[in-house]
Amino acid sequence: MKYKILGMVLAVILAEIAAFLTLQTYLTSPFAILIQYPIYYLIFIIPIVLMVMGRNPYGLSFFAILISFSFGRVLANSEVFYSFLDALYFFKFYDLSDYLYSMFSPYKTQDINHFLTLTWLFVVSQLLWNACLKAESLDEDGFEARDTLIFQIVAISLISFAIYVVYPHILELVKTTHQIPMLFAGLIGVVLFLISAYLLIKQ
Amino acid sequence: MKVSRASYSLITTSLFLLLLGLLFTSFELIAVSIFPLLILLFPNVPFSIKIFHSSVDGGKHVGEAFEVTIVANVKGFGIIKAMHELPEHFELVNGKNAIVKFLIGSSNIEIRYKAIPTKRGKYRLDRLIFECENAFLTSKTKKEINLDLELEVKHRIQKIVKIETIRGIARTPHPEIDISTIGVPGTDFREIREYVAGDPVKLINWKATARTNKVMVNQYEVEGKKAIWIFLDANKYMLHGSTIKNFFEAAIEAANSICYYFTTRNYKVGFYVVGYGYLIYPDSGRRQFKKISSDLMRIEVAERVEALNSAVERCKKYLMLYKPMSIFITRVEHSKPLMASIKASRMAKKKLPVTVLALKMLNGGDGQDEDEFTLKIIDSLRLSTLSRLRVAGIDVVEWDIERRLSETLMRVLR
Repeated sequence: MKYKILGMVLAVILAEIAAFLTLQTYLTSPFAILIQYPIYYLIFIIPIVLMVMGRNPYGLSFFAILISFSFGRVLANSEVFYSFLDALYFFKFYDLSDYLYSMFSPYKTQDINHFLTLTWLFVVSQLLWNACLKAESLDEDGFEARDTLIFQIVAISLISFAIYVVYPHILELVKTTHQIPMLFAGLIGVVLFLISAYLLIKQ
Repeated sequence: MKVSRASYSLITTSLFLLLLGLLFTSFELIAVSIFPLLILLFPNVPFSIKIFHSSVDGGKHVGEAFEVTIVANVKGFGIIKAMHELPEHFELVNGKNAIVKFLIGSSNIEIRYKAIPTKRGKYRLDRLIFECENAFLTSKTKKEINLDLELEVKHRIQKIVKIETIRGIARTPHPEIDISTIGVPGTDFREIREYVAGDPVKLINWKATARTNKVMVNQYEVEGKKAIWIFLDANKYMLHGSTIKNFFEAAIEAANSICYYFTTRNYKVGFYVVGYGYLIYPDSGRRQFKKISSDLMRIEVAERVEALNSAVERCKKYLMLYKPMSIFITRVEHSKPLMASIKASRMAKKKLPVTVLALKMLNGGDGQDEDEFTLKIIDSLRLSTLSRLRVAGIDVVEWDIERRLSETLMRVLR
């Protein structure tokens, strides 16, 4: 049980850091005027409530909540969203369409750092949670898992941090040196989707 | 291919971000969706193993602890799990037969443990399994090393010490001076008798022939003592009790000890495994004991059921030839050995001695879900069979298999 509690504590810490970063982004996003204080402070309470309930405090559902709080930036860069505004304009909702456009258009900057940090924190949390559960099962089988877990936590943190630091640079390099056509990117996306779906079905 | 829990969460995260990104044509989300896949694709560093030492000490008999020591050097990176596979009839008493370690570079792994074999047999302890997982627990590689470790486990032979000074009338006499009626003639002269067809010419006593005017031959004492025939019941109902202590294992232990007792005293011992229809021809000496003992190591409970009566019928020609003392080792409440015992005792003009070693377990056996009522019925069945055997003049010895065998064997062999 001790390793599961350790996993929960680590996940809560990472979830709270992610929540803080999300709040910072949220307050500077077009959504800030929609949901007012103190409702958004709920995101700090959710991980603690999940921990008390004995569940993973930084699960996919909480990650989805954090992404939804940051969604203003996604919409500001989304062609689909602007098409929707065009549709509103076409159906004679001129004021609403203009208002929404004026609200989102100033945030039209492509920056992956926030989402990457959120994803990194979530992925690390998931990996640490799994490592702690594994240590728990090893402990139940009578193995001495403490040292293994400590080394594993350090390895997960360092390796994933290295990938987190290097990844934007690789992406930037690929973007500047190879102009990937959108069709090709879409094809990669569909292939990845199919592989992932296949693996999930296998599970 | 089984996807690990860590891989599953990474794929789900990636898929979630990818779907959102595609739905809202968001470059950020699509770009970020690759990040979990990069973690997923992190390779499992190949590992190498070198065995320095492996040994097994002790454990030659059932219930006797043995120690296993394995020292290996492993090179690689990740969580390494080494496991020395034990057969199911072994019980760990000290230490662990598996070890987990986070490996960075090269490290020595030592597996040292003590275990007890709970069943006879010849076991190969040659499988040493290594499992290496990467730090993220997303991929796993397995390697198996074959060691040169073997363990032969036998039942401990219960030594029977007879108290020679006590005089009395034995119920089933088989004194150590009993001589067999058939066998290879030795050098000890017994008598001169009349020639019968088939006697070798070299045995003709020419002087006695001239004196009596009839062809006379010398008769010598034959080598070897009287014969013993053991019927070991290996029918399905013998497999009752726990894996450690059950009727079948107890029966084998008893058969082994009885064989040892008689073969080392130069009795001819014949053997029949009821259920298998497996017969070992009567012979004496340590070689015969080794043969029976090694066969007993391999025997398991039979699939089909064979009645004791038909077992006696199958051994009839040997019983008639050797006129042995028969010992039935069985659960009387199931096998009902009355007819078989009577048949075995009537294989000669003079009634042959028959002993039934009736196995019993007073508490019904560990892990068995029999209620008190069922146990009482079984017990009353056993008692009624025993009383009928005694009335028929068959010698019966009961053995509670939870108690020591040597005390019971003294009664069988008195």
